[in-house]
Amino acid sequence: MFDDWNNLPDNVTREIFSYLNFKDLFLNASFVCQSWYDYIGKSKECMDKVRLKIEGWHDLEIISDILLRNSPRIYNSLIFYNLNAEKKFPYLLQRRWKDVKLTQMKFISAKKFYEYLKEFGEDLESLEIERIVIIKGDEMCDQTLVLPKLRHLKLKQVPTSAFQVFQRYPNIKSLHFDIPAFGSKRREDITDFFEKFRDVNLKQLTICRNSLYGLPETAHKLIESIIISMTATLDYIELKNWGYCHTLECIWNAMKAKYFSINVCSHVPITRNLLDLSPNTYLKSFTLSLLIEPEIEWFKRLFLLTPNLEELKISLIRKEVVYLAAHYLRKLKVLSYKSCIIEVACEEHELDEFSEEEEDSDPGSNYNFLGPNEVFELSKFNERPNMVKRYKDEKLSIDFAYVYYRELISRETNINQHIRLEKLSFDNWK
Amino acid sequence: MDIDRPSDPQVSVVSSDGTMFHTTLKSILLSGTIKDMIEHIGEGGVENMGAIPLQNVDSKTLEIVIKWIEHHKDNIQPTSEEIKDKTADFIDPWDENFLEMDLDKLYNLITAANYLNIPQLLWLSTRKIAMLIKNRTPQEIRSLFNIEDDWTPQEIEAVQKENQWCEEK
Repeated sequence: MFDDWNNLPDNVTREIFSYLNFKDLFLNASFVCQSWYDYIGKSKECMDKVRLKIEGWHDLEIISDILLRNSPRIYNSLIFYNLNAEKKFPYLLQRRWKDVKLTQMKFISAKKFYEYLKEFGEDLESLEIERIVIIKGDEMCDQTLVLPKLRHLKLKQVPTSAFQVFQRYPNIKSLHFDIPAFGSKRREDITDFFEKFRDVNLKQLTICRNSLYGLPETAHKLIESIIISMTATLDYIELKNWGYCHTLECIWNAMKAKYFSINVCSHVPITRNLLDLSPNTYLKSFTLSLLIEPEIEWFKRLFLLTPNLEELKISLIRKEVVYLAAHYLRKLKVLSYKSCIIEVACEEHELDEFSEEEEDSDPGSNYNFLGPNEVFELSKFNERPNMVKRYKDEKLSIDFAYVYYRELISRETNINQHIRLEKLSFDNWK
Repeated sequence: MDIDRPSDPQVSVVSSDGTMFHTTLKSILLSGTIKDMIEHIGEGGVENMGAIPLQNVDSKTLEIVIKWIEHHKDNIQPTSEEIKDKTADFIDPWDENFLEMDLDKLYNLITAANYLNIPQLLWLSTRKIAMLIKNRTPQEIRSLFNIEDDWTPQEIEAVQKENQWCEEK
């Protein structure tokens, strides 16, 4: 029976393939037979899991002139790396693209940037732009991109002069935005950009404020007020390098999001301010980075504030307090989170301390607070990233891994860009 | 079967090969196709309704379907998206065990679930097939499903070349 796949109704085949990931679909299933290859190539759901990667002019010529003309696959997603933006590629642009990402590209002016993006047509649903340069940043562009179907916009390390080409997109659901830190020639472009998104019915918002000092206080206040106006509809809020306590309190008290992540600068006394917040019954997942000195009261307060919380992640706390934090979390017997993760930041020489523990025949003996039947294993990171050893018993599952990192924590630097983590995770916590 | 409960009357269905099965209204309403039929008859018509003919489902498959709907008549099934989001651990062990059958039976179950419009059973059974495909090489998949290899070496090479410009999204 199952040798007759062609008789399966289309919705059944679609359902089967929908469970497969990129590797299963494009490296294995596509090679089974030509009908599978054709099916996958024409299935929107399957093709939504792949994108064409163009890394240079040579790639572009091959893809544009050979591959796309002959392939039955209906690609809808493109990523460009380091291309010469002044060159044209007409055949490629004849296709209707839904998802485009540009990274590491140079444009002469904002007008050229606009003209380039305009070529992708008005069908774009997702647009991501990272690390581009506009050489003549002072030249104005008097036209804006019309993208009526745009639902996702990500701008990361994009000069302010590029912002003028974007308009208000009424159907947008997800916005990811890095505020340029320094070198902004026209800072009003940033606030103008944000004004376009005031009261838009966003579902997901990620904002990275790369510098607390790069913008005047008035600009910060304006951006914060717009963000607060957005919060009521958001399901997902991620604020990076966010240290203004007043804003945090306003956002927290206004939001109905299920997921909230905040990364604050190390000198901001987040622990104290958490105590002043109102209870939030909407929150399911909460991630907090750079918690410096957790105290037992802080954890108690967090638990009371978020009665429906299912996932808690505390990142980049100091090595000296990680066991203390784990101890407090464990001590609060009322905890019933599905997942509780503590990530530790430490200096390179401190990693040796963890390595030494690995030699210990009974590593759990050093951590009595885990309980007599709850032992965790410490595994040294080797060539495989994210390697994790897991210990499980009836009550507790602990993932413990550590990862190589490059630079020390500095209170004056953007920590996320320079450090990788030592990670202690508590999953399935009961 | 709760044939004595007036709130859950008995319903009969007949397979394509003429075998009659009896089940409860609550169970059979998990089938969107039969639910539509019953709603068409109108309120009060169930008791007077004769056996429902199911021309596209044979008796062996219908027996399996009835076993599944009777087990699940009282519990709310997860939606398709919930099933996709979860790992294998999430699937009810009873369902995992239930789906341990040979591929021919599974094929018939899938087509029956599709014809009878029982979304949860369709999702579970198609997922089972997907799990069989996962992490297998093309040759292993061909062997499993008895699929003929109709590629030429040149065609394979062309697809491999195409894949050089593809990445996971």
